[in-house]
Amino acid sequence: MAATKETKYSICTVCDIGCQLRSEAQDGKVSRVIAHDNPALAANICYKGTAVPLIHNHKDRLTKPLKRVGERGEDRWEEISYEQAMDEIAAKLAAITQKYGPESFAVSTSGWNTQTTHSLDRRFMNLLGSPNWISGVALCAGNTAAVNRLTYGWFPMGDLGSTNCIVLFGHNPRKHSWTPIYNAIRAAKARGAKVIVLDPRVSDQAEGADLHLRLKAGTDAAMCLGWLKVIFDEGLYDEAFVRDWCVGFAELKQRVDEYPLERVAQITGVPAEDIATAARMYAQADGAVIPWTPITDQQLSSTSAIRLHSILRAVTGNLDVVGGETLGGFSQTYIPESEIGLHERLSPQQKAKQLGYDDHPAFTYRVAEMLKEPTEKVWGFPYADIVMGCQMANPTSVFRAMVSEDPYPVKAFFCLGNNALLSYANQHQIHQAMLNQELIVAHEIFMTPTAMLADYVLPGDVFTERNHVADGWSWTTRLALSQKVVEPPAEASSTFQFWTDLAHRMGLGDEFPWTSLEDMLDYRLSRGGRTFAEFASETFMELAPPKFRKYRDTGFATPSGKVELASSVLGDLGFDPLPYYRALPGQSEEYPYLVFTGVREDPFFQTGQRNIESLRRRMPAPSLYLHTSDAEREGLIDGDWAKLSTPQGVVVAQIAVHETMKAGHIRVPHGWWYPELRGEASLAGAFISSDAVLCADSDEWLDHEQGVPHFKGFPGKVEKTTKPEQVTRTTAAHWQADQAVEAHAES
Amino acid sequence: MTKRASLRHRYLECKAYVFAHLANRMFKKQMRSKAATVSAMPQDT
Repeated sequence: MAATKETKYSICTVCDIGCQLRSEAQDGKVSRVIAHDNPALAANICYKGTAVPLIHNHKDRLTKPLKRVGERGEDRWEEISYEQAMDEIAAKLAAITQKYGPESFAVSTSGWNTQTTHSLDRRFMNLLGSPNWISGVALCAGNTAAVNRLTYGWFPMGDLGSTNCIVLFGHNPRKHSWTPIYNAIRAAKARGAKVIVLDPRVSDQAEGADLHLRLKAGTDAAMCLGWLKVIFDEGLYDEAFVRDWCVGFAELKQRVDEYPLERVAQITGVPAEDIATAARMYAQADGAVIPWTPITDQQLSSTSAIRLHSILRAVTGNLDVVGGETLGGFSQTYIPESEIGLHERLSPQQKAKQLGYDDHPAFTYRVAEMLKEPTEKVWGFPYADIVMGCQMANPTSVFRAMVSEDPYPVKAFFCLGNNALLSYANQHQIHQAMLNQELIVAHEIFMTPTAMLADYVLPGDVFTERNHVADGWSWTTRLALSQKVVEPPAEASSTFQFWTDLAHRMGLGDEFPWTSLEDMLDYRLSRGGRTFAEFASETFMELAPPKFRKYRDTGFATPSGKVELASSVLGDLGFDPLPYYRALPGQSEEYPYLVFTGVREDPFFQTGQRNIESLRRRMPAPSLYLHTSDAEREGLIDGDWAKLSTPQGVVVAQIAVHETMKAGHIRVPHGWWYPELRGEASLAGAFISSDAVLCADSDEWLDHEQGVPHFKGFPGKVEKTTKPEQVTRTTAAHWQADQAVEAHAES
Repeated sequence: MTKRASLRHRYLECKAYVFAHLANRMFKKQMRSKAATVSAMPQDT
């Protein structure tokens, strides 16, 4: 009989960018992932994407539910059935929430990895009464969305297709990371668009930029204030838009005057004339974008820096215009997750218990409630959960409560598609927090250090095993199709299934009426009068026709209905309504370097894929990047192992000496652990090289308004050491041609 | 904004609007032709 072969359209979820491509299956197994057959999408594929068969068919993929039999973190398990696992989890969660209150239940998740939750996690938590949902989006894109709403009520998307100028604040899209953005930037440059890069390193994007400002890490807010100084002083702003559609201009101008270029040059280390040249290029481009960047999300002045990006867009007339940045709003043909989450059903009393609500409210329910009325007026629904990030608990506040039980105990912690232990600042505190739990559940495709600390580990599904229609979490205005091409392992579940089954076991079944993922997709697509089967037979992508300057009809979704250059919400909360730069706690003789962490490497997404042989070969060991002059001073050469210490913690990694680094800076990659050390080192070496060990989250290191930790420029020192004994597979040869593994994946 | 810039914006806005419609039609057409190709292929028995 001929082998059966199928090809389907997929959206890759190996990283967060969501490339549209095709998955092939042969005899029930994913055999290849290849580029899309539409020319507009065909270049959007990277080597992580083509490695998908090796990931999804990997021999270490979790396929059976596991129940802990040893001490927590000992990594000893018994296999149990999915039904037994869900029965026990439901009973234990019910007992804990009854004893300590529903707010004692916290969830940490990554929508990128789980994709098809459809906000059922928030729905479940809201009906149960817990506001304590956290995610990596608190440090990456979700928080940017929330802070953008303070200025003009939505999170805009850059129109790279028509823009004349692209400003990259530390962001470095390249061939194998953020690939579609990289391709769009290349296309824009080919049309003649200018690129301005602000980065301490000579990054890939900086090498080809029209202007590269090598600012000191963590000084983005000061740089933006300098740009505004030039733009205001030279009259380069859109006077009519500012007059008609902005409030707080006079106060902002006064604040900006506190930042003459000499001061900004001194803070950022960039010459004043270069700052002025860049500001003019941006303001005079007649269509310019500052695309989202993870760099600004993770700084001491993050709220101000994100607000300053939004203010620059507005005052230069780049908001909701072609070639600028457009406010998309909710899909008109697909029910958004904001509605499915049932945020309106969580009581005001429980919302007020959200951890972070009092101290760092910018992305919590506290601000969401303040923006409810204008959001409903402009966008048609009161809760806009853009990129999942607009009504979250604060991660640091949650971990502190898990350790200290102050202001109340948090005793049940679920991690779905999220290696929480390595994903937030202050890893030792997260570890203590997890050791103080009565119930931990992990839902994963591979065993991770976080899952090793769980009571139950449930095997998850992957994108080739499920149907989906992606709407970019209400950030983009397109719908894209992802089709199942193979069946998941028999005992694996999607996060949709997990939350539905848990809800039915806990008396919430009436609120979870959907019988399958396709049933849920039918429901969501019903707003456009279609079923999933109809959508999937009709198209693989649907673009909403753009509308520009919608604010002329509706105003902006802010309390004033205008762009708030001085934020009334921040003012009402007792914060400075105007953006400012907060100086970094300085380097010292003991810690002379500026360390920046959270950096993504091409072969991996966050803490994942270190166990995938073909990807690990490309980067077998973690690298600390430093400048030649610094390496010489420290007596280090390429390939040495070094100990990097900060006041918070110590890690070891291999030295990579680069001329492209800025002298005085050390760059640390994000999320390193050693899956190969499972059974040999505690939690598979989770504390050896993880950047989360280095990052502090004490109050002096938190942004005031959001409470995000500072990852971009904290003091550190480096010294030569020896390679840790346990770490042995540190060259490409060690990961070469693991025939048994790759044969398993391909068979 | 100068008159020239204003005209350029109008042009780009129209282009973006038309592009979305044409792209949606192109995607649908591609799906239809793929379905037609598959249904014309001999089926395994």
